[in-house]
Amino acid sequence: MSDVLLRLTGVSVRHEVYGEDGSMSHGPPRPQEVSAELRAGEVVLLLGPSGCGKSTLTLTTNGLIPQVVTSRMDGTVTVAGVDTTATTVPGLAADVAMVFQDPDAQIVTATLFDEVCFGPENLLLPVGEVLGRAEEALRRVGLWERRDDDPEHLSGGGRQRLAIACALALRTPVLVLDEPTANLDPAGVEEVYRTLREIAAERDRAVLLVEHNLDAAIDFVDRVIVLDAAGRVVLDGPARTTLIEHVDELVALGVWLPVATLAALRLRAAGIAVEPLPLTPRELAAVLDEHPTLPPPRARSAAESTPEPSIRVRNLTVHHGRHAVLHDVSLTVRAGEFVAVAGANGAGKTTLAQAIAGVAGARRGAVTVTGPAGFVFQNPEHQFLTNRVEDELAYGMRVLRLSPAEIGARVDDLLDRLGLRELRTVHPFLLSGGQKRRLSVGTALVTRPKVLVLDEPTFGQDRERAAELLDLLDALHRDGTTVVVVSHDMHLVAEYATRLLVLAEGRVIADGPPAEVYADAAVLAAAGLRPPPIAQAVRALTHHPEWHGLTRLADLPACETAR
Amino acid sequence: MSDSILSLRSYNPVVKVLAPVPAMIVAGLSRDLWTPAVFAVIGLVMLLIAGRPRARTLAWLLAGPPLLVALLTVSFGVWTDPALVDDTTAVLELGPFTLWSGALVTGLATGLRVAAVMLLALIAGLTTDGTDLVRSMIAHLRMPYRIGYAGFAAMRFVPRFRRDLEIIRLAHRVRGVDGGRGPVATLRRYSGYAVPLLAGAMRHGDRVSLAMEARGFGAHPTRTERRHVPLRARDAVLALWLVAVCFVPHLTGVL
Amino acid sequence: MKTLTTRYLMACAAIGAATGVLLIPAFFVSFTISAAAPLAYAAMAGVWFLGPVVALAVLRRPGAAVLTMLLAGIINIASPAGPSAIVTNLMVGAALEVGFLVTRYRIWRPWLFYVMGVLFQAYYAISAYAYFNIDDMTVAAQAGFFVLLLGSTLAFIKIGLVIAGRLAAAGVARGIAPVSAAR
Ligand SMILES: Nc1ncnc2c1ncn2[C@@H]1O[C@H](COP(=O)(O)OP(=O)(O)OP(=O)(O)O)[C@@H](O)[C@H]1O
Ligand SMILES: Nc1ncnc2c1ncn2[C@@H]1O[C@H](COP(=O)(O)OP(=O)(O)OP(=O)(O)O)[C@@H](O)[C@H]1O
Ligand SMILES: [Mg+2]
Ligand SMILES: [Mg+2]
Repeated sequence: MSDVLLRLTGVSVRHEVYGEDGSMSHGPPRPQEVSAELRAGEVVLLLGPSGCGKSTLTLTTNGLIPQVVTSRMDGTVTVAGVDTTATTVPGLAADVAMVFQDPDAQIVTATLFDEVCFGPENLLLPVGEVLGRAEEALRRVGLWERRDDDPEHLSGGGRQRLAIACALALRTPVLVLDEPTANLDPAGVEEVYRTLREIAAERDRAVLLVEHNLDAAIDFVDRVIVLDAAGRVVLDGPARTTLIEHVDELVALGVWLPVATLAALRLRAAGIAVEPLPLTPRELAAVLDEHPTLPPPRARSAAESTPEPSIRVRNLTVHHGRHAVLHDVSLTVRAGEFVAVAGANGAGKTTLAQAIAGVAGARRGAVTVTGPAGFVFQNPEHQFLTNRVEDELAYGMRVLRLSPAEIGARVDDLLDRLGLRELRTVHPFLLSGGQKRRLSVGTALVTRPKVLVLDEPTFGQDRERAAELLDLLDALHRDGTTVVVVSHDMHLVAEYATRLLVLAEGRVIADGPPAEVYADAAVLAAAGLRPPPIAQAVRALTHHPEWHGLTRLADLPACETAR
Repeated sequence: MSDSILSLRSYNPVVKVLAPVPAMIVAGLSRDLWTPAVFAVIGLVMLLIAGRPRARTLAWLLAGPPLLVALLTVSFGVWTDPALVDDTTAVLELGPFTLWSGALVTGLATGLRVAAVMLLALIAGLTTDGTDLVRSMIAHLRMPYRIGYAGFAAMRFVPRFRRDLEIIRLAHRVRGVDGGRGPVATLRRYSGYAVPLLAGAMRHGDRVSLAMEARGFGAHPTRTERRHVPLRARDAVLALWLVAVCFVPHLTGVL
Repeated sequence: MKTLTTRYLMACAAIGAATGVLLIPAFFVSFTISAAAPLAYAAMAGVWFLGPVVALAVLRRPGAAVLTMLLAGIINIASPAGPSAIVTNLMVGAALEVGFLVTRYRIWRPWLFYVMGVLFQAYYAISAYAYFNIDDMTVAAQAGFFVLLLGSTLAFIKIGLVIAGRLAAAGVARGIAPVSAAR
């Protein structure tokens, strides 16, 4: 067919892997033998477990692999009939445009307008054409009014929309997006998807989208391609029917499903018929409303916090320069609570978390913490000090001058708990994203803090790794550690936290159990937050008011207690 | 950019950078008092009239050079070998130490030289935008545009790395890194920051390079440039003037 | 030009920007210090070698030192040295690079870094002689100036090589630095 814009034939990629002595070999193929076609007007979602090679596959579509990233590629990729290895990567820029995960790493110039012009200028288009395309692209993503601003001054969502505008300005027949919303706050995710939905509706190009957050994407994709852990295509078909008919396979693969679907599966297991399987909160609500009666939601186990306070913050005001970032914040956290701190970008979450952990910012006496506090920074690499995983864990204890025997025992114990035993001699920088994060949590845990504060521990992680980490935190919390987490991920916050603090412009505007906070639409609007998908679904129920307060999968009736 | 002929900002950046170089060399290699003093005054007057400094910069411009000169004068009074200057007058005697007027003169000359070179450098330094300089280097020095864009990228990296450095410092403090005080401990601490800072920087650079290539960077030997940094008659005048002042020392011989 | 890949350029930009960030305070301090105590200035003059040493030792490709220092210089425009920082930085970068150029980028051993550093500082000391009037100083001060200049150069080159070693161990230059180079 002539309208195939992107054709992959038997594509396998082997990345370079390095031995301890610096020798180089090629790893196992990820992805493996992928054949697929994308036609004009199609929006295709690429799914698969973490590490199966989705990002790698996107890099082959414009020749970055194998031309720039020197991994070995077998098979062929053709774009609009041109083999990607037959021309240079910049030469393909008129055919394939890409949007990457990190909005900051895509900005080259000093104003929005220059940024959008960058691509067309590289293609040597005449000035008039460059200006015309830039204007059109910026208007499409709603950033025309801000064209003279510095991209630094946009929100994360704004910067990612800018990246989309830059891709649009190239007017390519193929658009490839690799987790474009992974690093954004809820309002930013919504902004980006509103834009993507409009672009998809125009049906004038082929779109390949990699996304973990199915809840946002499911309503406008036409087709899904699913890879298994070994990187082979296992499913390729229309989005809705493929997801619904193969749901068990997908669960077994470890692919993330929409939360509404997970909820439905849980309800099915509890004996409630949920047909057809819903993919969005609205569909879930519609199915549930057809039931004349529903069992009562599970009673929440009361939060097991002791009355004794663990963190006390009194009238904390923090200035950066002349600008007050936190205004007169007072709060008490009791030992054993799991507190989530949420709020829009720039609300002061990091500042509060750092003050609580005694990292920076608090005036003497404003914050009292009983017992030692550990702090985990957003980017784990910033914290690493040594060249080996085990030394990294031992470092904090060497500072405290513990005995070598004690150090050895604790390191061994932690390596097992973090699943890093095989990697004990590896350089921390060479770990995968999820492993780095676990190691950085380990370095904070090793001194057995009574209070653990984490800044965006799920930032840039896929859901699976995020859930793994939160399970670890949950276990600590149940053992009596006070946990404070700064996070944008409403679903995870709702599932795990016993208490939710919402910050807006340096003030605490809500403080209570997540379910109560999510019930307050005014607070959510003021802080730019969205209720988690479960809450959205149950709130749309017309027949079952007793379910309206639910926010977590764990609240749903079920026969087993798995989340 | 102000376009007034009386504003140094309206002149070509490359000219502003290169034209003062001969004067800087003459000032730097001079040994008398008169030459560097003249250059310092010329530089200062040019900056005051056409540099349009903001209040804080203005204060530094006015107070900085005299302070620098005073400091050097005094410190050379201390460092200079007495054997070379003990034929001059003793200004001050403190126990075994004598402050000779000859030493002070040497110090004054050195101070004036440093001040002159600095002020001549600031003609471009205070009135030039980094991006314009790079654009002008591409247009007028034939620097490959790919290197120019690496320059733009480097400029954009700076605020990010500053923030990173700040966070790394906090993170290391939280981990209990404390090498103690003193220059050696500080140096050791900083080299500890260098590895995560540079590793993060290089990874970021790598991602940026992928994004740039995906947007066609390097597709052709040239690219469309919408902005031009002009090279005008006034730039020639500026260059001629700055070269002409190099003959000032010879004038003194005539006078 | 073919070897000047975007990836390599951005690696230089990253090291250059980090070097620039590091050198801005160095330029400020050196201006104040060189006024008050030229000896203390000699003790920190080696800091200029940090960036080019790291760039060359990590990237192991022609031009790494010069490019890195050019880009660092562009950033140092915001220092008291103004654009002459570009010239200063370029000189340091080029001086280091020359040694590798004449050995045709076949030798990457530490001694070459040290030799080039010492040669450049010898040249620099001679030009600083006139600028700072060093020949008028007491013999002790002159000796101190040379010892400190040399010491700081060797020390900072050493630090640069250590940092480069750790960066290589962290795998950051993979895909940019030639694989065949024995590390
Ligand atoms: N530049 C690289 N060098 C070596 N190995 C790599 C490189 N990039 C990716 N890999 C490895 O290749 C495999 C596939 O990685 P890829 O990033 O494509 O997975 P993914 O499906 O996008 O995963 P995720 O969902 O976590 O983003 C992983 O095992 C990864 O560790
Ligand atoms: N070191 C600093 N210097 C100056 N301003 C700062 C500094 N740190 C933070 N700020 C400002 O303080 C405000 C709050 O910052 P903070 O990092 O606490 O926000 P946040 O809620 O964590 O945001 P994000 O979701 O983006 O991480 C922001 O406007 C930020 O620009
Ligand atoms: Mg990926
Ligand atoms: Mg934050």
